[in-house]
Amino acid sequence: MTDDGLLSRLKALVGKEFTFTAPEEVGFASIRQFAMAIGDMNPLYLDHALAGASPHGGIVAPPTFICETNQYLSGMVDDEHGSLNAASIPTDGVIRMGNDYQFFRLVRPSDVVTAQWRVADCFEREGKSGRLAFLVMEKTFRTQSGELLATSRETYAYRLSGGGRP
Amino acid sequence: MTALRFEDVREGMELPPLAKRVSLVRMMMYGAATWDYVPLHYDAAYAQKRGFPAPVADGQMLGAYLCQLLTDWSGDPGSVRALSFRNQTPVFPGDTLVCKGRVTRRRTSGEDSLVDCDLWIENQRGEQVVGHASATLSLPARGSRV
Repeated sequence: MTDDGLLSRLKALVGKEFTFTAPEEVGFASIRQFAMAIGDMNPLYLDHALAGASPHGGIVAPPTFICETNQYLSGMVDDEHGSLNAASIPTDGVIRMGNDYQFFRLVRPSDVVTAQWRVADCFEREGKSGRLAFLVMEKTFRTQSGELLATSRETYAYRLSGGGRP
Repeated sequence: MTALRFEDVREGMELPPLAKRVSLVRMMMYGAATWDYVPLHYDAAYAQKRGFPAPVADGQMLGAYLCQLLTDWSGDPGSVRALSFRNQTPVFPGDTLVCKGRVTRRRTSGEDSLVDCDLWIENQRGEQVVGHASATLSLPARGSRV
């Protein structure tokens, strides 16, 4: 794809919204798998007895866990970039620039999460090694009863000219 | 686990640092746990074709590390209200990271007792792989129910 083709494709995404609803509850196993992957052995994520005796009253998930949208996809997943492809967002060469999270309540195993994505902005910048395009996403995560769990504002970068990475 | 209280916190205080060794296995585990199958995070040939010397760790994994830095200190994952960070330098398998933080401000907002922190992550070469990072925690205060 030419640079201008990529840029116009990114700009056309601004204002678009995408919704992903998990087909089932979060469950204990996925929380345990995430906690083990990040190496965080907090008993509130893993130990039923200790978590049950805590003010949370049971197992909860690490705060950023629910902000990973791929876990809400069902059906066929592409070889690369599952949720980005599902939202028709270009994936080749995409680099994450960072996140701004807000957390309203911890997710519990019985929650069924819906992720709502909104493409908030697209802009160009001259980087150290060439022209870059940035795509800003606003993501909102809610329970089946509409309770707000978390929001995440994320920026992706795409290289527009020359080779290599941003 | 004892929960940190608002009265225990002073501006300028440093958070107990959190060390993390990033391996290809850890990166694969994070990808599996988040259903993220992007080859950039485990396929060396794919990463090299895109200009990286090795597979690159998922940026949000580093956000999860910063969350652990905060919750190991506060004792309660429910205390984290906000977390912002910028991925500044790619993280590769074999990197040894240290997550660090410092209290910048104590404040009250309505009934909430809040603590703001600056955060960052350094690699073994002293480079900031994550910077421009900050967080807000809500902590129990004297007289409040924990």
